[in-house]
Amino acid sequence: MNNPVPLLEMKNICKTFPGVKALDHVDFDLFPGEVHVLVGENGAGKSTLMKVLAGAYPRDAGEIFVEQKAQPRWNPTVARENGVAMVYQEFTLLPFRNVAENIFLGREKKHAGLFLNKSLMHTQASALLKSIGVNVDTRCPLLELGVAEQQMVEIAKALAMDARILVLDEPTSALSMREIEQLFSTVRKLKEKGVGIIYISHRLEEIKQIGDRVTVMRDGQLIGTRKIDEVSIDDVIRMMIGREIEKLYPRHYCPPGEVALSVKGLKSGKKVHNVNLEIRFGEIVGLSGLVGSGRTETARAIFGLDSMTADDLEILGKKYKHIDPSQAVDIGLGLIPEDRRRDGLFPILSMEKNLVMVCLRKIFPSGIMKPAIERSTANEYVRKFNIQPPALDRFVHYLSGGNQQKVVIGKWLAAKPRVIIIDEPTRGIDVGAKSEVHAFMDLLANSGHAILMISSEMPEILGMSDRIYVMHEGKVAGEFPRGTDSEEILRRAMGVRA
Amino acid sequence: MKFTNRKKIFRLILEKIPTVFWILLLMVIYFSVSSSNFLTLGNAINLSRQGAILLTLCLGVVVVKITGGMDLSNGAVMSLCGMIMAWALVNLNVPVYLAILISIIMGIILGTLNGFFVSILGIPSFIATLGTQGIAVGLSLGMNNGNVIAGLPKVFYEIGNGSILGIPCPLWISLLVFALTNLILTQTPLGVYIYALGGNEEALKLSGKPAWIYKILAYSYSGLTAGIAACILTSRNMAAQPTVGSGMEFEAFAGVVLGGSFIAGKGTAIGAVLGALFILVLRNGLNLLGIPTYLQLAIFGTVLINAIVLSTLVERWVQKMRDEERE
Repeated sequence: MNNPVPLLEMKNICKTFPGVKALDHVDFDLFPGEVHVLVGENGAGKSTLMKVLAGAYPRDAGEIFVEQKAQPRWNPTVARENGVAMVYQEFTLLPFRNVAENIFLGREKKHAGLFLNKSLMHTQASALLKSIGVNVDTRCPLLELGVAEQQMVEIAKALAMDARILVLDEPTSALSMREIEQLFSTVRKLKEKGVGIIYISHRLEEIKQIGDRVTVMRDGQLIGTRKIDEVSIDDVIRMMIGREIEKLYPRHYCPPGEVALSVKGLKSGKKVHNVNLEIRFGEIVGLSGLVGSGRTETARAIFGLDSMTADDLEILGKKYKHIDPSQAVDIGLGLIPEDRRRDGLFPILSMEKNLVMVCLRKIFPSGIMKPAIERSTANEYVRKFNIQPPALDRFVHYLSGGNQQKVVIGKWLAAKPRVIIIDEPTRGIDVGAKSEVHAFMDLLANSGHAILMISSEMPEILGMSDRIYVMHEGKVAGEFPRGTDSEEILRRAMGVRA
Repeated sequence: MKFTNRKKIFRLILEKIPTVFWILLLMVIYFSVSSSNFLTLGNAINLSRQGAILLTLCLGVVVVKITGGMDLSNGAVMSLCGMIMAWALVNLNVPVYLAILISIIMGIILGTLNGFFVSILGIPSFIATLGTQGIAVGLSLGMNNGNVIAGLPKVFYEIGNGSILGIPCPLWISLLVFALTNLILTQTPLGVYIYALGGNEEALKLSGKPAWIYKILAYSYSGLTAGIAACILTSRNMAAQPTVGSGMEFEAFAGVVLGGSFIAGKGTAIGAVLGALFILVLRNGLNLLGIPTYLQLAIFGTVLINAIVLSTLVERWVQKMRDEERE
């Protein structure tokens, strides 16, 4: 930080959505050549702050300065002119077009103002990529590149727009270890060029490796900004959560019963190579690991959604060679998927129809539906889960994330499963709904259900699980008892041997 | 190492040359062997005169198809353009070049109307273009109480039936349209945006470009080619017939899909030409073999489906090989 002039200052930023104070007098600044890490739990206000920065959301109050110049008018165009660029989690690239075309999309180099100057585009694109230490063929279609390389192209695209303030939103969530290293060296190159980088990540270990300063947000408020050398990861976690983990997660441990599900040598597709695990009744088993380590695919294979082979698969005391999803439901398996909007819900069907969707065959064995029974079944779960508003006729599309998640869980419980696999139980839902879901999982386990919980949130894994499996590259890399510390688990998830 | 290299070359051949090309090649060989009339200059000239119409239509449809839409109206639009052109020639005695211009402008207007429905009103292209098809069919039937307009001036005959340098005029015209389409798709920013619309519309919007305009333009272009095709068709028949284009939209769409535009964001001008040729050669070959019409239709359907299934399989195969290479 040789240059004392801050590239960007955001002061007292406020933003209110109906019913929620999303940003409450937040201050944020960024110096050239700095990596400023922004952390916070889901719903803490990070993405709202970044959307204000990009001009996508108008701010209710507060000021924005770029190089100490006040910016009274701030919208997407002004933000772009001032060099703000976002590298989104979902890439905004064209899969079938080549690297150069993607980098210059919308700003093509032209001959005579009409025809593409392809050779110039290729030379400039490859110079740009080289300058950030990336070596890819600019004539290669995007879909032939790996995820990390695609991300580099995305960054190069931002640089081609003369970005000085670059926002990287969870850039490593889909990357392998080697690719993360590649990204970090690019980030270092960007720092040398004087680009200011706002780095959002859930992987706290990365903060130390790449960050200069860290800002923690919680519930729309700024908790603090610290120099990286002056904080420990535990400090950051404490700032993020604000409470001790034990108090946050309501897990009441009770001794487990018989084995409910056990699988040995599970193989499926490209992501699951050799998985051995067992779940007992009355137990919440956490399945941890980095994104892409094969956790979701393991769940899908056990449930029979993807073709699989296993040396041994035993569910509720019976051996199976393989099962299909409808059989799985019949024998008492439930899978609550990760992406509820895509895999878990029928958005434009009523809450009632969604809730009874899985259990139709169980409550109407004759095949003829009786509206009164349907209604009372649905009502039971609305009450149990405190779904708000309790309007059975409402399309689930219009419910909040937390209530949608409750509908998905309720729908599965209505089918009365004994073994429940929950993939990311609280992704993208607010703190209140989160603790309700956790309390319910605790209740389920203690009433004799076997639960396998897949989660990317370390505090959730630590707080809710009785036992923890860690996956790495399609294999179970380790098994840990309750009370293991997070670093141990992360090391194993990243492939470090014990 | 050498083995993997050979595999990669194989993959690239499969990837860069549309599967329909190989099927087309097989068909040409088969028809040449089984009918002595197939591989003759006369048949080639005949084929190119007839085929230029479908070829021209396909080159418009491919542009729409790349953006992720479809155009069910171009057959009917072509009929209507022909009717208006003939009407202007016969009743207003306009010069031929003006009649051609009227036809082309009419095509562009109707195409733009499609684009307006799809891009601004957000109607699915299937429904929007079906609606336009209805309008166009109705208008062309109404223009002369459902009758043919004939009695066109002699000069007009040359467009569909004349030759320049021994090559039939219709072929010249469709070659020009091919050159134009290929130029737009591969050499201009507009082409990049057309592909971007199909590949990731959001990305185009985020790079600050008015995506909606390019979407309209894609449909306008399809209208333009329908207007051009109308000139060839009307001149070849020396009359405008109100229902002459019905069914052509499906042939054009099938041709474009066969030519490699399976999903949004994919497709090329050369692919569209190959797809159109496939349909033309199949029709022509079956005719020459003297197969009865009802059987021709059944065979046509069967071969079409098989060709598409095969193309899709090859597509998946290439994808798999590409994944393996990456690992």
